[in-house]
Amino acid sequence: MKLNSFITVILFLFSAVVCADASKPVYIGFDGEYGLKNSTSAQSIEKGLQIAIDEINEKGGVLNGRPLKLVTRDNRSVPARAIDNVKELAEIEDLVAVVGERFSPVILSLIPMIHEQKIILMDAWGSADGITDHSYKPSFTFRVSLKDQHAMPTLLKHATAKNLEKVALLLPHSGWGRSNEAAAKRFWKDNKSPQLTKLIWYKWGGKNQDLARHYEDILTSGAQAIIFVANDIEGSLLVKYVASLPIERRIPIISHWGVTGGAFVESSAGALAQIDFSVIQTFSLLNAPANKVAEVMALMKFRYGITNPNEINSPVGFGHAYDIVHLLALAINQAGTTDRETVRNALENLPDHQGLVRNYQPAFSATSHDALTLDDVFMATYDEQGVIRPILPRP
Amino acid sequence: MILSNLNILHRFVIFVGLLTLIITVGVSILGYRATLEQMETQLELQLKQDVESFSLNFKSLLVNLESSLADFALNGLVANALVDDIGRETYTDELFAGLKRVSGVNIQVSLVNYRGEVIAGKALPSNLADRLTHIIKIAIKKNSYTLWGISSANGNEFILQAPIVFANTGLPEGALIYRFLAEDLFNVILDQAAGENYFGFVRSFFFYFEDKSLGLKGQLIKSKDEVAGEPDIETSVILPVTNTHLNLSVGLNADRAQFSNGYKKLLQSKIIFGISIFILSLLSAFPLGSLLLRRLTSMQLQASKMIESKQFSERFEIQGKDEISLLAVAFNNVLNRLEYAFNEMGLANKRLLSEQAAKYQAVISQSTNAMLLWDPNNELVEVNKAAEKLIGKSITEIKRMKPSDIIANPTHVIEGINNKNLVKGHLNQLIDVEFSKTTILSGDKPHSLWIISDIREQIAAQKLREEQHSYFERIAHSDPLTGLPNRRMLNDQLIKSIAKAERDNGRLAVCYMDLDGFKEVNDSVGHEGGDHVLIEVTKRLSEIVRPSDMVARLGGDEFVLLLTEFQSDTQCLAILERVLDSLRDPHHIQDKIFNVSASIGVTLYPNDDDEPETLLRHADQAMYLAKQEGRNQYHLFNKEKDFEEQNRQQVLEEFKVALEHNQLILEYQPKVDMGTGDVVGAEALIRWRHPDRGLLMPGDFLPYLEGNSQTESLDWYVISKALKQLNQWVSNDLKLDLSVNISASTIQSLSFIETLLAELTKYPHLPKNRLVLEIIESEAIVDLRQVAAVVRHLRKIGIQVSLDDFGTGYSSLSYFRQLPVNELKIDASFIRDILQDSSDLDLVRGIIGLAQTFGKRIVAEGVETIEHGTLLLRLGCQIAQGYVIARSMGSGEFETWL
Repeated sequence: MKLNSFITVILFLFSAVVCADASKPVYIGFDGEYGLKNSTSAQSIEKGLQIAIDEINEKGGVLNGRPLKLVTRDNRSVPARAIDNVKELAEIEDLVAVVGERFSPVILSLIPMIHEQKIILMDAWGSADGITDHSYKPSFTFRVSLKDQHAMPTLLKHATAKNLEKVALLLPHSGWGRSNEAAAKRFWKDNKSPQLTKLIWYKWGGKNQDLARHYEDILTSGAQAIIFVANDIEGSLLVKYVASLPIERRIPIISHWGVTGGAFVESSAGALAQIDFSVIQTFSLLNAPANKVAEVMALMKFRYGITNPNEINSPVGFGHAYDIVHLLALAINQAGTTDRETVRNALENLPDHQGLVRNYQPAFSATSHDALTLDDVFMATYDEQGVIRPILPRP
Repeated sequence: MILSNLNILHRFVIFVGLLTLIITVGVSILGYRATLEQMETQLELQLKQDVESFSLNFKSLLVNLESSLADFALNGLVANALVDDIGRETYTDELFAGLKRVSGVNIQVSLVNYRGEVIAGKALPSNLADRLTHIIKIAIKKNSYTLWGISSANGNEFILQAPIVFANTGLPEGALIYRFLAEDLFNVILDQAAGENYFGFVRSFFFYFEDKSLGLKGQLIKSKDEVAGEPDIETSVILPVTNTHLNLSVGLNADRAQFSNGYKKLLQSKIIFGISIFILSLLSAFPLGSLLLRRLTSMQLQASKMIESKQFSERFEIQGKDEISLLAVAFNNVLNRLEYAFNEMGLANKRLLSEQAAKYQAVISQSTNAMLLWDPNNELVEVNKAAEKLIGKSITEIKRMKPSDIIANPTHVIEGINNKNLVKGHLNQLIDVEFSKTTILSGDKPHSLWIISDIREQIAAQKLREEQHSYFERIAHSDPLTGLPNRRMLNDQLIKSIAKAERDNGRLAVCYMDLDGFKEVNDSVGHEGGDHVLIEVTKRLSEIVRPSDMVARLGGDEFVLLLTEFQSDTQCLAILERVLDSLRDPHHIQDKIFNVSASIGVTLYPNDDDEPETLLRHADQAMYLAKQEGRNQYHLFNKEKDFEEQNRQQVLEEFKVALEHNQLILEYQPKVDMGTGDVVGAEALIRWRHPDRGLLMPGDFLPYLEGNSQTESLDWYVISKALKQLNQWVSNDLKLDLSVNISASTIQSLSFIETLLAELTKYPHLPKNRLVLEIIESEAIVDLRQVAAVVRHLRKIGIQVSLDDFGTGYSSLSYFRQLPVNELKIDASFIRDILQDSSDLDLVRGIIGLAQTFGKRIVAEGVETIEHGTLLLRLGCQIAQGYVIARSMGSGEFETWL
């Protein structure tokens, strides 16, 4: 224990000396939805980015001693603000890439602009297929995150595994919702079960008063479970409504992961424990390689005073963001420059890398800008303390 | 001249004719004019009413448009579209297509983002797109509705915008816009007007509009029909429209000629009637006249004879008593007295002159005005008593004086009346006077008459009136006790200061100040003492604040400081420090010393850029917090804290309702003996079925109740419900203990035992030892000895007592030592990590050892897995609660679970 902190102090002093060496920082931008009520995902992504940056800077930074530095902006989950923010970030000299946030519609709206201006966008959370599947060549978007193409089949198969044969889809009226609808349709081309009883689009952005009505419609349709694509604000509204019903009127909610991006547990006010709620994930510190977790937690304690892995809210954002910085650092060093086009080319030609989320063999190629695969996807649930725990497959 | 050649008969006929003519024509003209005037007033009045109702139609149409826009902006799909950049076109076109016309006006709808750029619907007019984008952006930022007018390729257009609030952030992120043509608006109103019959006299309708900020100026006119000549009555009113740079007004006009034609015909008929009367009276005057003049003619003949014969001894014949007879008598008298009269004439003349002189003297001497008559050589010829009094010298002395000895400003002595001047009075005192000068002829020479009146009293009265006026003016705007501005004047100044700060990018602090300890002064030495303190406080404040600042008193001991023209917030706070310092000095009243300090709430503009009234309210709220934080300090207003406080108040309010409306329910979590597998009891847990927020756990609302009497109400509610449940279990032969949580404040209340016994008497067959009271450790116990006595009493009557959440709260060990409880409950937070965390394991082992040593039952909370349970059993803890056994359940479910 004592030795560890001693080393940390030495490393810190060392990095301070390097900083003083007039080396110009290399910037990584992050445009997150900080201003959104109760959001935790932007904070979690920022922690992942910052911890990886601390780790790399302690080991001497990039490009022979230049430190990495994080610049953040708040888009409040509004697409128009994100476009302005990213334009502003792109003007920073030596800013290599912008990391994208939770809201798929926000990232989707950035795509034309970033290709026009040749800005690298590293998606740490948004799952809409269109974020990497688009017609821009060469593509400047890379993703270390879930893809709806993988999410939707996993959610639907989870229903079947729970012997729930009839499901309803509850989707947001947005690019994210549409991406999931497309993924579900593809699934049903080859699969018969579970059966769809009803597809409902709910509105977001305004005051959402309709979820209770949607739930009643879903019950009437005969569904045994809801496949729910939503963020924490809508999520907690639905969960609280379901929990307030008599037990025989509650059906399981199989949820996409937007709910994990905010104070979902707190806003749901204990209702979660009253219902059958499962959520899709790609990463859990509880499953990550132990040595990596120990390394990360030592830095977390030093920078944020956090000692318990369970205290990291929105863990997927943390894990993805952490790996994104390492992958970017590899690419920058390989490119030997901060020039965005050269770094982009390097990202397509990275060596294998053992990350926190998985072992990348390698992360990207000229034909695939998605670092995660269907193998990384699993279902989880919230325990009594509000910690997300993987559901182990039945033996 | 011609008349004098005519004889009386002809004259008479002509007079009668003329008289008739004048009367008839005069009456007709006057009548005609009066009617015309009256009708004109009526026409103007009618037109005014018409234009009012015309403008009301306009106003209500604008309101319809505005409320349609507001409704539409609240449509969930509109906000959805705002944040759905890719793909919204799939539904926005259809959404907007449904809105082509509102109240008959053709509408173009646009959705703009926070930058004011159109993202769906109609593009903005290209000639003004940049300018409009900019002003719409500002309006969105201010979250306000606005109406503008522009001139575009489509014509003169109005633009109405409503901000759209993004619910997930609570901030405006875009706006919805209606555009419509001025002409369209006007036509809809005209169509409405066509259906209403009260615009009968109206010939043309006008609609004027002007938006100086966007360069729009125009008018629309609609005339009913083409009438020659200019319409000469016109009236217009301004439309009262809020939130706009647009000046709108509507007008109407009417043709007076059309209106007065009927009256001209009336005049013609009256003139014809007059002429007929004229001719008729001419015809009848001739015979009538000759009859009247017959005797006059004979008198004339007799008189001619007298003159011819020069014989005046003859007298005229008298017949009857009519005017002609009287004339004859008079002639006779004339003849009698003619000679005598000639003799008398000279004498009468003299008497008349002397009477006039006497009147003139009386007027001069009795007048209260001073009068002086100067001859052409400026020698005084006449001086009255009033002059003597005014000048303060005797008449003889005055008569030696020259004009410049009497008047201070001789150059101002000019012909005319009531000129202001000064008279040199007694001891050369200057007297304000009104001075009149007239020239009169006396003995054919021009004399100068001065009339001087003393106006000192009038001036004094005038001055008094002015002073009274300014006094009333002052008390309307200031506080009579301290002379400080009052709330009304503060509000005026606040509005001005905010406007100035906004213009100059300046800062502004609104400081709400309330005196601490002021009530004690009033209570101790009465209101006079209190007034003394208020005046002293005012004096001290006035010494500190700068000329640009303002101190106002709102009443009682509440003051407001309005600080402006400071460079930084630190500078402003330094002023407040000085204020606090100076107010701390003690006050000496009636040989007593009083310490009065101040609590100040501050809100700083532009950080807090709300309406003047809101700023005051914010400062007031901050002052309240300053009081709560211990007085004698200032507190800076903080929106989030404010929100937190409001939140707490809201939960308290709602909780009151929850208690009354049975929104609170109890759930039961079983306690199991892990050694035997028996269910030994249950813990009653409170849940709140909130009508809006769903099912709430204790953690969601208990923290808000802390320190409030509601905690006690809740405890008693739970006890009463739990006893009822327990009683039912007993009647169903269920052998279970029931634990109820009770807060430290409840158990510390003096009537606790008494109230509990009263509750228990409702269930005479209930064994008291089935009830376990769990004292929650999160709150401090003030008097441990008193609580220990209560616990002993409870145990004496058989009730079991437990220490809940052991180890988490205040001084667990001293509670354990001093409170003779039956049971300890180890908090779930220690149990959770015993499998991984050796320090938690040590702690739990210690607590169990402690309990065993003192013979207390031990219960583990939050046991989640079999592994936890096994470990606890090994450590010596038998009884457990937790998810591994069961979560909490409603009473029905609980009984089924058993």
